[in-house]
Amino acid sequence: MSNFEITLTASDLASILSTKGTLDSKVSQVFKEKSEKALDMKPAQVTIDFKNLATLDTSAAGMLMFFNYAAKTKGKQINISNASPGVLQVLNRANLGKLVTIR
Amino acid sequence: MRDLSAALRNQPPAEHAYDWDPLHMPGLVQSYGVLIVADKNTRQVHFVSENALEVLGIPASDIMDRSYLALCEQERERRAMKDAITPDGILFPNPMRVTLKGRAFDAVVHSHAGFHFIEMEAVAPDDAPYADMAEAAVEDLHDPGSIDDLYQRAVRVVRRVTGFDRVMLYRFDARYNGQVLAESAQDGIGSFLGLFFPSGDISGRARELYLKNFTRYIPDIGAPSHRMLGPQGSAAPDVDMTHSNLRSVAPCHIGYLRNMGVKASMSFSINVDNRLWGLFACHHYAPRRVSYEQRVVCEQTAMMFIYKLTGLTSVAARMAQRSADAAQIVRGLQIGAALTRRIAAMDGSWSEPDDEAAARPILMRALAAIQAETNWLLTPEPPFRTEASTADHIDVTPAQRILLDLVEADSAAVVRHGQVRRIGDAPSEMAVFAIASMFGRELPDLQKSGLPVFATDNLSGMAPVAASVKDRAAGVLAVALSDETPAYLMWFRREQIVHAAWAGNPGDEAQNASSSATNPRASFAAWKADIRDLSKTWVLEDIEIAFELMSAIRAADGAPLSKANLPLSTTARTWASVPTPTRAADLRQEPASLILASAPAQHGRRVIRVGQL
Repeated sequence: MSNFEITLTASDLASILSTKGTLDSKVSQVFKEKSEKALDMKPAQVTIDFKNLATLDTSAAGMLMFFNYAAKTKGKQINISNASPGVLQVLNRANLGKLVTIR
Repeated sequence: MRDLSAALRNQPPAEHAYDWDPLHMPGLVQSYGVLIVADKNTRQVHFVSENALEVLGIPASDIMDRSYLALCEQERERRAMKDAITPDGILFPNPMRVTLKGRAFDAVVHSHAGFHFIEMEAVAPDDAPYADMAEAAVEDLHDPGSIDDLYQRAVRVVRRVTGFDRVMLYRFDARYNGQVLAESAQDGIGSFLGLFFPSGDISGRARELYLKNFTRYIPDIGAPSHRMLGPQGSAAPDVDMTHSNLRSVAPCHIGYLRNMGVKASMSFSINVDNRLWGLFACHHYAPRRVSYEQRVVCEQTAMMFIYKLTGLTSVAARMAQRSADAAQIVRGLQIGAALTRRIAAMDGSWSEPDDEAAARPILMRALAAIQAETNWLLTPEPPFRTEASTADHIDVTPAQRILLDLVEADSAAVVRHGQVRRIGDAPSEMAVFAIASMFGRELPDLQKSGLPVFATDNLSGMAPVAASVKDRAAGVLAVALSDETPAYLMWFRREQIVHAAWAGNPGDEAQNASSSATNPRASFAAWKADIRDLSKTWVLEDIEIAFELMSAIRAADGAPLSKANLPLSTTARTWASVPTPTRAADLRQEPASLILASAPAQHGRRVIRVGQL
């Protein structure tokens, strides 16, 4: 029933989590599994590419806070890129810009 | 998947005359800050609250019609604000620091309806750094051992961050009655833990606002409100303050809090799947100021709480398990149908190679095994009315247990071909027939309405005579197994009686909160009144799972192989052995019980009186 997809790629500079669809509580486990792999990779930067993300909910915002915490404990930095206006609205409402870099 | 939400007909929340009062447009702000509303493109101020002089030291008339950037005395702050607030800006680095007449203010910006809303509030000297508060909150919440542990941790975090006397985790039921699930409170102020609060305490509009604006902050309920001013200093009652923190408080709510002895209040919404699940409700018995960043940490605590809550209550995992279970039944149905087709093909061509003919007994045995698991969903095999079917309780097979667990039902029944198969302690056969007879009358017509699925947690509310079976069927979820003949799969949930201790008498309208704009509830003395007649509430996922299974059953039923004429043993009967019913055939062979099940009153047939349940 879910339309969420996530892929993990890596360059020398960053691990990139590319997302598509709707990020909500129903798919958080899928996101968690991939994001943990990203933290185990070599690059210190982890970019979450929201280019094809249609929307995310407040539980997903909460999940990103925990992800950011896990990243910090491993000395990594989270960036969010290419968010649509709708997704940016949610990120702004959650004040996520106070925790992670949003480009 | 199609939208099935219309199939959910649970008992709705109680309605109140004040539910949709325009709380979002009070035309007033609270006194702890100034609201400035400016054109997104020109930055020209169109509306400002009249307390500007009192809070900022600048008369409202000096702010109106000018660019809000002109407020900034320091060039660095002016430039920062100019860069941060752009016409198309969505993401704002809140709060922005602005110095006015030597005093520091937090400017909090949001965009709404073509305007930028800038809320200015004085910075308290002892505000804790955001980063420290946020990190401590994450650390506290990241590894709860249980759901109760999560509740406790969350209220402790919110109380630590805000310093309020009492922080409660408040959860709404399906009808928005709330119950305090966890509490962190100062010693000596008593406890609200476990108490219920009636739905009328929070209006429909307030609940709607909580979905859009996650914080309601009232630092001093005794402080005056101040008008929003528009052009030429006129009152501006129509400014939409949906997302504003400074939105003033309805007099009735002030009275409600006052009657509780509360002097400052704050709430953070917990929204799950776009529904208000609950609140963190904070009470203080003296006015209390909380900084914007403290409020942000509390909002973020609520978001982390939601993430952990959905993980621990495992809605997703539960749904995944239920989908897997449904798939198991569906697979059984599909394999059975495929095997039957295969056997039928072999049956008509005995000249097939030996190895294929030799496979036939193997296929037959496999088919028999599968049918033992799923055939009861399709075929009223004689003896259909077994001795057990009239018994008070029928042991369920493993596959039937899966069927019940799919939608967390207590029992179920299959009605088709005028016969009924009860699963678990479903209502009696006659009662099941009677419930089936209500479709198209008290209950929706699942065959003609185009929506072949329906659920209610309040069957006796829709069909009062069903009250006599509410101990077994207070709620029903039903799917139509055919568009042609009355055939239903129904799941039942028992009545769930909640022995509730209410904060005040929920049935006393004169005492109910907001029973009018000027008469808030005055008594919060514990009052015991049970919640009755309802089952556990059905949710959309239940409907979707039921619909999915119904589709599979119909598909398996529709692959009937009626021409196969298989020479099967009685222990290995298949779907093929039951001709696909047609309306004409049903009418010819219709037993009395089918009449009861179909029971269109206009046909003048004998219809069982549901009073006989």
